[in-house]
Amino acid sequence: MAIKRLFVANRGEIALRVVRAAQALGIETVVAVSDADRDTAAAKLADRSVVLGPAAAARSYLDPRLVVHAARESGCDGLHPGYGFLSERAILPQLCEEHGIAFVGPRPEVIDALGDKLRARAMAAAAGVPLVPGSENVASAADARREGDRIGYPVLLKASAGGGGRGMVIANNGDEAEAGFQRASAEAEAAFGDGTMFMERFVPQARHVEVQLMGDGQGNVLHFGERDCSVQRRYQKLIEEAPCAAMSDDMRAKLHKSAVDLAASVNYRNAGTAEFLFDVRRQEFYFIEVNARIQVEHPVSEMISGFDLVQEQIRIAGGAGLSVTQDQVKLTGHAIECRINAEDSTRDFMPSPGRITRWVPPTGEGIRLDSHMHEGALIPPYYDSMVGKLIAYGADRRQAIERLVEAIDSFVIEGVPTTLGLQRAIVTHPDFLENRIHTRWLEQVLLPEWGKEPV
Amino acid sequence: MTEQKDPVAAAIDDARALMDALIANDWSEVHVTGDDFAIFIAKEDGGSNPMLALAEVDEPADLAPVHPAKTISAPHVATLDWIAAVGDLLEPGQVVARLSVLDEPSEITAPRSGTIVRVHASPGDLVEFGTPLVDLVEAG
Repeated sequence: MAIKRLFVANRGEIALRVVRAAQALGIETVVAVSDADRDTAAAKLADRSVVLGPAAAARSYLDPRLVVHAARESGCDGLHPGYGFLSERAILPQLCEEHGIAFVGPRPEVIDALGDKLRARAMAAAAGVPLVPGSENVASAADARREGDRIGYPVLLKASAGGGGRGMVIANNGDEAEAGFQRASAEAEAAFGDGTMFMERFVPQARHVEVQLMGDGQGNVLHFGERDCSVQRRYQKLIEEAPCAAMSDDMRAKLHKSAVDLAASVNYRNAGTAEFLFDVRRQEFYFIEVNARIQVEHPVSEMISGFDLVQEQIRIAGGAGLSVTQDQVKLTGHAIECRINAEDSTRDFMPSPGRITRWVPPTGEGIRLDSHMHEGALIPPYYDSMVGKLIAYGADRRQAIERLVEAIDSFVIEGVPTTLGLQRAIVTHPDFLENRIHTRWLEQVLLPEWGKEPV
Repeated sequence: MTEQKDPVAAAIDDARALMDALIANDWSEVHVTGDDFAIFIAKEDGGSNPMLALAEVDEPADLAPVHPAKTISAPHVATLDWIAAVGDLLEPGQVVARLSVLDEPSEITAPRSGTIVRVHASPGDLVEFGTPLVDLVEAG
């Protein structure tokens, strides 16, 4: 039942990460590639790669039938979806099940249920998890006004089928609630084919806090602590850290319990992350959604726990139980991650793919770099612009920041612009050092000043 | 998977099929090159053997083949279920190869009329995007 040959249905740094984890477990690997990714690090390291289709993601990584066919015909008995792409589309585990391939992730019904925001909220409520004060199905402008009045302004109108920050509108009073409803529902209908809206209290100074979970599918769920991902631009995370230094131990314990209770209530299997909004002023947290996959920022949780989450994913998919108990999960120190994107932060973060002409990664105590890049590598224009993740670990937050700054200063990347300069400015900013940040801080405080002074 | 054909027998079969094609199409010569082989067949009044010309002349000769072959490749990963044979004469739209993805069949058809002069893959193969399937010499 343990997986012998794993198909890696993703690309870039996460494909390399999964190949390495599989190799550490003595498992053979086959990597899916598009025509543009034939010579990537994951393809070279794996035992074999299979070219699914042309560069376009829609005709390669995003075609579940091509993916599962390649897995089946290359003799794979397990499949890891990575993050993004098809990782939260139920069709992938469904096809895997039909063709005798163990899917490294939750069951398809659970992915479906958690992917529907309204259903997920109902599940959270049933598990006793606090929700953002809000309302279900707002079906008309009149509903929007009435619910807004009841919840208390400002409120956020959200599309049930939306995600990643799309389809959201803020209303500060009844008039704005009505007008906002009309606009947002029409946009949601056009973008997602579903105009269903719901409404929740808008928290102006919120922190994004999430809990790393791992379940065995039998009702046993562990947590590996929380992460604070409040440094965001347009709802995309730039910096993540573990633990959340803005929460008391008491609050953290409540947060972990809520997340575990929710996952256990659905017999959650494999890795997942429960995301919450933390209202610093009210000292309350509210459930937002569950991401039913391994996440980009999983390394910071690995650094503070000393535990390899991806290896555990693969083991559980092969039928093993959890390899540790909650008591055995010891969380110490502090870790911070920068997502390094090939974007020009002085030109509105324009993605700038190209060839890396010089690549000298940082070394040092507590430094980890998850990257598929190297000198001479070409960043293709067809996918996201992430070139890697730089993680620094220290005994406490201060030391983690010091080590991160040193690492950024010694990291040489030439040939493409990157977000490293901006990230250095973020982690050395007094607000970040004092940990006064919130989810709108980057856009409201730092970015308006950014690029105005000589770097 | 599939049995490996004896390469000598395969070469003889290909040459015989090319001879048939030469006669059927009323060509005066045909020259086909591959990674590890080349075949030149000509009628008595046909052109001279370009492979000999290469050996005699210092500067490279103009090697424009008499009838350039076009390679048809797999459009995505799939299992090859059936493939045309060397010498097959095809009309436009005629099936060149049959593929399947998770047991759902699809067909690759000839873009124009022509003759198969080389077959690169065998039934049972897992072909990938860009895997060469056949070389087709277009008619006239």
